[in-house]
Amino acid sequence: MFSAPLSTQIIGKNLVYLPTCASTNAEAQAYLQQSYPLEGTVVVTSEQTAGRGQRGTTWETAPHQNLTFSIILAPKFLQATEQFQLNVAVTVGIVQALQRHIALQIKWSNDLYAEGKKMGGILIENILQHNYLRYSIIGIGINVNQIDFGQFALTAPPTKQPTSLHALTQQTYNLQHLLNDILLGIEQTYFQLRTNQFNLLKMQYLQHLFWYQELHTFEVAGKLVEGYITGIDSQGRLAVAIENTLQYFDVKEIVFVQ
Amino acid sequence: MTPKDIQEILGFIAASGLEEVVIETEGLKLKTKRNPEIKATQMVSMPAPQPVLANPVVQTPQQLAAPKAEEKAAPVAEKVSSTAYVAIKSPMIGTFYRSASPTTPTFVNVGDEVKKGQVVCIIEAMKLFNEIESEVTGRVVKVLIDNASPVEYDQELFLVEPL
Repeated sequence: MFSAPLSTQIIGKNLVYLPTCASTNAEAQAYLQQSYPLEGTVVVTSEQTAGRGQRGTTWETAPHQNLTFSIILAPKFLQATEQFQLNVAVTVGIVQALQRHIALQIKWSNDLYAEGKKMGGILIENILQHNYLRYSIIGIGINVNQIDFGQFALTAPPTKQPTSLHALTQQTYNLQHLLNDILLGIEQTYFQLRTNQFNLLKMQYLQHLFWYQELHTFEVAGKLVEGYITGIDSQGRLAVAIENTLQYFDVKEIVFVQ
Repeated sequence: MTPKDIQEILGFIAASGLEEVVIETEGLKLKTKRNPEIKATQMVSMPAPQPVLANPVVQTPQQLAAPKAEEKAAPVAEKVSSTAYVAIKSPMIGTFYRSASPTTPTFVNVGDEVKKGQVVCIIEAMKLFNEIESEVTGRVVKVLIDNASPVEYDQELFLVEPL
């Protein structure tokens, strides 16, 4: 059971709790088709049975142990070409909200990592009108109290091993309190986005970026290369210095190896 | 010179910021001009979208020889002219998807009627998924891009015959 947070101004003021559902993003989509929900509407569930990840992939989560929710935003001030800024604001908002519990890092472009393992993920789905964003559905999954990751942990490669807040701190968390913190954190960065503080948000994104300015191995066009992540461009492409040459990569063009 | 070649040239011209371009070779005469009306509205209201090549005029040899072309109706009909149809364009660089997920049916097919505001495709950019809506009510006459292919900013995705 979840209820609306007291601390926020818009996000979560209208909160829809579903004890169980297939996917909170799909539920949020359905609300948008039926009506014009308030900006900041949150759909949260205790048991997501068919969570979606990136196209064709899934987000699996144990019931009642983790956070799975979606936020409906109306970032009409953003042009289509600026959409990555939303990803920056949301990831930074979550990292800052959980800072007092754990040092989260953002694994480019939108995964949440702690101690080198994956603790959360984001799925953003936008609805565009002409060249502007009309609505954005921000789906968020964060592993909180889950201990056993079953088959997934056995089959995932070393760079994609799952973890949870509990697994790293040995503490059990109140999901409602954590949700309140995260909604407030995202609201703060969303307000910064609204006031065009792109540079501030980008600096914070880089500050928490996994492997930032460290020498690591990547796979590019089937070959292993060594390089340093030096930043992101306005589209969100990753800038990596490889043999003294700065190259920009789209998400499908580079793989983090070790 | 395929429609795709012409599209690429137009994309290049659109990105260049040039006001007016005339290209003339043996097989093609292409003349483009930015629409001054669009510019005017950009200045009045709404944050301006990036410069867009409005109503590109593409003249091909068949069109230039207008009286002759009428005799051969077939090639004219076959040639998809962007003046008669409205193009739905990509508002960003990304990957074009015709369905919500690999297991769901395509949003629209050739011959389908679409309403203004109806979702016609998804463009994925940097792991964000963008539902693109039709800006007109009409019938889909052509799907210009293959599913899961990369698209450029302002690239034409569908041609719609307004109804």
